[in-house]
Amino acid sequence: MTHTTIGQDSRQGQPDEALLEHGYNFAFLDEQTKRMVRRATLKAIAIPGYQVPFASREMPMPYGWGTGGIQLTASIIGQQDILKVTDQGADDTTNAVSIRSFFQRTTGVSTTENTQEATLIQTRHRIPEETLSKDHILVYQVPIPEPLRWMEPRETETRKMHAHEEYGVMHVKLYEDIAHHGHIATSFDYPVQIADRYIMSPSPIPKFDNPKMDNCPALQVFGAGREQRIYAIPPYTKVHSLDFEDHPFTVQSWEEVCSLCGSDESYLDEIILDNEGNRMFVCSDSDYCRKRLEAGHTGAMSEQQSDTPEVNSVEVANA
Amino acid sequence: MHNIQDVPQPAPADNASPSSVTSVNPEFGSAEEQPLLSVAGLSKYYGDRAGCLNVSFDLYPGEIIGIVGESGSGKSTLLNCISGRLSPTYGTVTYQQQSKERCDIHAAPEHLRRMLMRTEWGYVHQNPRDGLRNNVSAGANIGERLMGVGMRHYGNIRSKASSWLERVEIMQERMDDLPRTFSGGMQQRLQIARNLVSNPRLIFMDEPTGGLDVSVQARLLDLLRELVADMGLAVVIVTHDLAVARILAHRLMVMKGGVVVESGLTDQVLDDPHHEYTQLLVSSILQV
Amino acid sequence: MNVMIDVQKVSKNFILHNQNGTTISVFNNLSLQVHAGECIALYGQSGAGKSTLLRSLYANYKPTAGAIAIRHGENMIDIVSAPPRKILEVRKHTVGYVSQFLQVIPRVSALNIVAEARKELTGNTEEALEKARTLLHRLNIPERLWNLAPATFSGGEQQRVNIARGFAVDYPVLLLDEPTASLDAINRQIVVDLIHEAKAKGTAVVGIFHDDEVREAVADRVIDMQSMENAA
Ligand SMILES: [Zn+2]
Repeated sequence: MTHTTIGQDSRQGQPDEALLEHGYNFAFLDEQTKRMVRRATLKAIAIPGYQVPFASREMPMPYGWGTGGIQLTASIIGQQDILKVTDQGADDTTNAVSIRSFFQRTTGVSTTENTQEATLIQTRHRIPEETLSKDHILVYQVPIPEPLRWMEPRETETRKMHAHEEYGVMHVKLYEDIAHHGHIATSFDYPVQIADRYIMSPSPIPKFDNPKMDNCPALQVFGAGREQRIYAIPPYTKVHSLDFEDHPFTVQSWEEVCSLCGSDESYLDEIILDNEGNRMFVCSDSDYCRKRLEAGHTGAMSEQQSDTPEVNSVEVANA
Repeated sequence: MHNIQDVPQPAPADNASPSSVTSVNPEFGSAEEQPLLSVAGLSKYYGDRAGCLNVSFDLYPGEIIGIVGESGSGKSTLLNCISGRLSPTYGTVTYQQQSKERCDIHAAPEHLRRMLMRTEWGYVHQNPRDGLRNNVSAGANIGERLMGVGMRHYGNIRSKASSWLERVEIMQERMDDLPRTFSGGMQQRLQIARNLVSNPRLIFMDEPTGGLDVSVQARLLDLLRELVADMGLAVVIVTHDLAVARILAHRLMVMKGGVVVESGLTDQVLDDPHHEYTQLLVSSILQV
Repeated sequence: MNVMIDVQKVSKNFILHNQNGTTISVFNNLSLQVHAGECIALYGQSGAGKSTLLRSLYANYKPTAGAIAIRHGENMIDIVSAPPRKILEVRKHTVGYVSQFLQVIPRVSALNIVAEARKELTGNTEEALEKARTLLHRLNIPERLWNLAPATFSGGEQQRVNIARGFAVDYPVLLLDEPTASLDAINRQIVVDLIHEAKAKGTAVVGIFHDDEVREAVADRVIDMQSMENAA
């Protein structure tokens, strides 16, 4: 693991020289845009959970690819950062690979798949299993930032509801879940209340990850490109998952353990192995799983790990 | 006592004095009771045209006032101004909160107005679809206000919703069904339950029986009459139906062209109408 | 003896705006006092203004001029100028009115119609229902009808329900508009008895009785509306 630190000015980094010759700035966005995004981000940090509008820019990839997260990352990344990009816990999906290589080319910063090594983690739909520290910044890609949207389609009205803290409807949604399913069936994008004030969408992470947001030492920032919103949870902030007294918030749990590393604490993905319905459960966080394997933990299918695409995909970071 | 304004006055530059209206004659006592709602010199202009002009009245706890008139008479404009949904051009609406604090509805911060609308006030729309949350169940519709004021026990919310369904004569088995699977009369009763569950003190009703068949209307009227009396609610009800007004309202204001042409005790206005227009309305020559 | 009703120089005109402003003058400058425990019978031809006066005493009609003071507790309240809610308060506590015809409210049972005013006054539902049962029983309404809405009752039955409703509260002032019009001799006598009992409790009664026998049985004074008109 090596990375270079060159002075204070991020423009003196070492992005792909060919790109610089074409007039591209460090991390793609021009400095004016970065300042604008940073101002919005600072405001978001100052008002935990509040959605700050920002002038989202066109990025060289379509909406839905995490353009909000990318603009955040581009605005706060410095030459000394070590970047990890993860998509549903994996670092090797097309989405993660594209974004990682985009920043490699436009900034020249070091990248990693190792959660502990990273200083800046852009994620889609997961929070890493390993405990985050105050040295981490977690950037979430958000498709729909407005948690009230499901109950109230009018933007003018949802803004007022936030302003006046009129959040009864959020419980109406959970009530409806229990009435129809006997329990709160919402398992992704499970609404949270930040610092006893704003209700916030945690993005489509599994509710399994919600407790990790509470009192987290790392700064968490959220970017929605198409919807042009940035919001944030400052370090060590109370994050409460909404629930009822008689239907308390619970996280997903599995009968199974990870087939590869045997973990009974991580969020598991179900993988269908063949047409006969054989399946296996593996950690969704590939970095976490790999580290456990390296530490000697084993699961039921550890011996066949070279046959599974999940494990083939694990590669050494910072190529 | 009669608030008859035969000649439309030009809109006052300042707030009109409500003294000519139904202020309590101190000679007869009852001075200790404060009006729940005081409407003073209320006018709403649309450009040069007055939607309602210089309307004043006091509404006391438990009192039911009917606003009657043809469509276009200004009764809906008036209701919207009184209920804080529309800003008047002139005049004030003062409400005495449960806390006894009085507030000028249109000068008050928006959050207070919105808070009142979902706690101490209710609003029953003519079309239940405008007053219901149509994408959630009947139970959730009733439970919303409870959750809005911080009730967080699912079982309690549900039992409260269930008892309200019973009160408005909807079978409890229908609790988890969407409102659109209900008949018009049931939807209207659900809307009423959704409003009353927070034990409001003041309800606004806009033609609550308007879209319903006659037999369904009778049932709803009877239910409303009972609930309003049991809960001691103050009501401002807009209706073009004099039979509805007679059954529900203690007193009436008759509107024409944005102006209150006659007001007073309901049976007095209907049985001994003084104003030309009221006589026309009552004689049912006029099909309203 | 306490003056319960004090009619002071009351006039009543009807102006029919939609019939070329035709003005009908019913009575002028009429004055009248009714004391506690007294029964006044209003007398005169149809059109003499009996009903108009009776309705004015209930504030159902609004006199053109004059005052009508009703003893309401300690105070004399002018119901011509009082605001609506004051009038409703006077009606609730002080003035009962038995109209010629029962106003039927859909779906409300005979028992509840009779009990309603008392229930509202005292807040005691059970006691009000008990009183209602006693009166319905006394007025010979078969028990099987008590829980039905009176819309389908015969005229006589409806009238007796209406009378029971009027007598369910011990009003200090009671106004009766032809209460025995469609009753047989037995039920007429029961109504006469009820009026006597009310008077004995100090109720001031003003009534229109088309039946001479009933009028003679209950009235302490007869006011001839025709002569009142002429005297004015
Ligand atoms: Zn694993």
